[in-house]
Amino acid sequence: MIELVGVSKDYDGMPAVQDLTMTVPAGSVLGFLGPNGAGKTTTIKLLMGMLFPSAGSVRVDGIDPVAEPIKVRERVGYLPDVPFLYEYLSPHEMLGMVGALHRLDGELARRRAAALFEEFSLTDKATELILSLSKGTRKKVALALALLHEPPVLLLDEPTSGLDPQTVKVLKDRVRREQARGTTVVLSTHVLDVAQEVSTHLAIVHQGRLVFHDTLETAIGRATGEGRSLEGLFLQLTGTARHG
Amino acid sequence: MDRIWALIRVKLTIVGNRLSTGSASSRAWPLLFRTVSLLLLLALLRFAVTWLEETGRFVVSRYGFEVFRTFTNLSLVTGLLLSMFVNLLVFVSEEFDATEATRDTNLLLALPLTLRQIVWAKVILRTFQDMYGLCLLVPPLVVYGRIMGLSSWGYLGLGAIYVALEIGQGFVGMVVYLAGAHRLSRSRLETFKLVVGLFLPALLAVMAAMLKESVNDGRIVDCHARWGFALGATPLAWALDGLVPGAALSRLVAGLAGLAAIVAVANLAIHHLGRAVSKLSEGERPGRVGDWLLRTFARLRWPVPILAVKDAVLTFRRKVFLLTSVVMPLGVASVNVLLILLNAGASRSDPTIQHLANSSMLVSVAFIAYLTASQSFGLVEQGKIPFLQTLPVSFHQVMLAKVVFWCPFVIATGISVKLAFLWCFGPFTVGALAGHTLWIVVAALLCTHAAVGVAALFPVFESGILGERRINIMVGGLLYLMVGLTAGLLLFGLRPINKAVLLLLVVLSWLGAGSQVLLGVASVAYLREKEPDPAVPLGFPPPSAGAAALAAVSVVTLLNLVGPLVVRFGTGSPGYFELLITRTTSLHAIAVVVFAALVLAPVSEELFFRGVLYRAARAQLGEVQGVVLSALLFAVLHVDRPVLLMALLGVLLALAYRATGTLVASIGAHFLFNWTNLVLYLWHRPADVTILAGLGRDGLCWAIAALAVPPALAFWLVLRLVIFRIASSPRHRAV
Repeated sequence: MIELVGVSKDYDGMPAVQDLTMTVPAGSVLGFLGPNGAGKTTTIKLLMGMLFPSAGSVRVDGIDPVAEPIKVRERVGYLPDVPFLYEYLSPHEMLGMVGALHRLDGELARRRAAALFEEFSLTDKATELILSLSKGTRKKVALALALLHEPPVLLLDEPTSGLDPQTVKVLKDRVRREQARGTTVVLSTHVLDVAQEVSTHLAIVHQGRLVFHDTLETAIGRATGEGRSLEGLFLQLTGTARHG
Repeated sequence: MDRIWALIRVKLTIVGNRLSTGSASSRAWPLLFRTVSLLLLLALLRFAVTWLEETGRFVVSRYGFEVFRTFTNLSLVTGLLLSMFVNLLVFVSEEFDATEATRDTNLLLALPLTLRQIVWAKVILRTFQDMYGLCLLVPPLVVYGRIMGLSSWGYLGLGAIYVALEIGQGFVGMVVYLAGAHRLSRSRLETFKLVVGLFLPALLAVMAAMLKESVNDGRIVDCHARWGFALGATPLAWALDGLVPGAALSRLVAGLAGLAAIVAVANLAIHHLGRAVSKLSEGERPGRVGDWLLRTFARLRWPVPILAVKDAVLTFRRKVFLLTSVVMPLGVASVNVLLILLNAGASRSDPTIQHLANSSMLVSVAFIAYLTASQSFGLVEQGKIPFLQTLPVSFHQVMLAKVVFWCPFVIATGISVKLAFLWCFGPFTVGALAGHTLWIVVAALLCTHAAVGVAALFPVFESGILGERRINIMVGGLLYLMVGLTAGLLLFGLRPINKAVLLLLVVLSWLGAGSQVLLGVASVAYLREKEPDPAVPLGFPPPSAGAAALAAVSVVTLLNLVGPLVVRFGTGSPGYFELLITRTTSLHAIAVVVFAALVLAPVSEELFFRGVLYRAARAQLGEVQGVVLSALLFAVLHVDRPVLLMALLGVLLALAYRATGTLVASIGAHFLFNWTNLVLYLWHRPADVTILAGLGRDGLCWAIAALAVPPALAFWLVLRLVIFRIASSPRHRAV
């Protein structure tokens, strides 16, 4: 469960997120949509405690990330928008290190890593240095890192960008399974189809403000565009329809 | 040519945009900070030298003293050059580092441009940017120049040196530097030492590096090589100064030969190690190393060793790191060992030999600590501290892991030098070895501690994406630095038992509020060492309690009246303290923070900033300079608060001490300031404070009383029962 109450964040006086109040119930998948620069990544970083809110409060799994960032990071699997990996480690070693930092048992970490490599078709790349891996493969490694400790909360920032269609499918299946398991997922994206396929709830931010937050059914009910797709609703709410 | 100008125009537009959107501060701060911190470091060094001179400790370590004096007598020139070289390193590596290369140069190479055009555009543009940088450097330079009594010619010379260094990208600048050093130094001998001892070998090293294709990581490595070998060559300067017995010429030849050998060996080692490593790194499987690593990770249950092992593997898998973390310490140690071996026939009782041993080790340990630790955040983490922020580890643990990993290199360097000394001059006994090893371990821990603190600050400032955590990290880094430097001051001539106590304090500081305790203890130890009776100059107990109280209340009243005006020019975000106290739900955490802010900070910071620093600076530099220097350092330590307000507080605290003649006035004012701020904060913004949420007015009053009154009592008790007593010299009481 994730709670944001009256959260604002500004960078040197420029508002990035304004008065954001939103609850993501446990076991739901929130499709977090918005045009580029709407404040999605900022919001996710606020949830991770990497940024401090200028006003308002944040709770992730009942914990304040500003006060107890480490506890939050134990409970969250985070996929950054631009993943960073140590290039001179192999995916296997990288997962080994992160597993150890999450205090997973060695044997358990190995089994989970093997399963994740299998799932994301990384097995044959697992012992190569990350230096030699392509951008998409690196993204898959970063995804495996986020899932390794089976966290109750997943924050995925643009998880599908740079992935091939097969992996996008794997990812979508994984998110559905996570939801069935009771994991709370925030999936920030601007690929509306992905959001429509896996989300239970939708939130749309525009210029730092929450312009829509409800269940997926309600969103589709309100959608007016062709075939009642999310695109119409999105364009209507973010005011980009008349420009484009 | 027109293409070069087109490129420059594009770049200038980018710079202009940065300036107009306000993100220039992210550019200005690193420069300013780097400069100020280096100048402060030099001021501290100078302070250390003065102290050594005053206490006659140079008899114990005259040789190390010589090194320091060479540096600080030329402190302005050397200091500026140090900071300019650091700037140059950063500029060059920024312009040509891996990220820049992929983002920028690759983009440019896709356009119809030659590499030569791109490089020229970069060089010309950098010169413009450095002019801008120079404008930023001017205020701290003027302050520092004033303190050091620089003539107007000196300023002019400095400007010329700076510009020449930047335009010439090193070599031309060096020539100008030599002329500048000659103009500004006090004797020809100093100039000569500086020239030959520091730059000739460095030049050789760079030439050798350029000849070797294996060092192909561009100018970053080049610059590091220049630095490393320049530092390793310091003993050569001593040899030339006649400090090493024997004919100067033979020493010169020996030193140069030694350096040439080291350069050759280093290049050879890099070449072969590089080939061995490339088998691992060029897309091959990590193989057995990887298996070993995985098993190690699985076994280790604590973040610090896990992170340290990670650092080790990343370091050994990259050629660049091998140069700086393995070969360079070897080089520095070898030069020193060589000099010792060359003097093996001399007598141990010869003071010069002792100085040689002590200072060789000191130089090796201090410089290697800095060089290796600076790699840690720059190259190993690639400035990507945000990744570490996504893992369940604290920044403290990250810093500690760096200390744990780098320290063995530093210790090994120091011990190898010491072993050579004992081997040549004896006594080569278990007792002697153990005693020296303890010394070296403590020195290495302290130096690495300080070095990691400094090294952590650069990427924090360089990466704009860290967000508000940077305050947290900066404070942490500065505390590490202060701890290392302060304790380092005490290292000279301490008995082993005291070194052990210091070591214990360092460990305590790793655990939390210990750094403040250490600052206080180090200050008291220093004062007791220096003064026949420190209680008198500190005014313990106060000559007039009423005057002290009046001064304290006046300072706080004035500051709270002026504060709102001054704060407008500072940062707008709440300080680290407020963030902690408002967000945490742990009473234990609040208790520690409140105790540290209300009891430890006023006592230890006043003992250090006013009791030690202000008085020493006043004695050496004059009244105004003493106030300004102590206030500036005080403000720098409190970077999470509005800088002007903190500087003003520093000034007022020094004045309170000066007016009343007792440190009780400034300690009291410091306490009152922190106390009123806490109470006002709690009173005005109870809704922000998690543990106070939901309390009524009455409840709030009780909560504030519970939070603020016991520390006030504890403060008084600590002052009365502990500080007054330990500050009073037993010698005095006996009389």
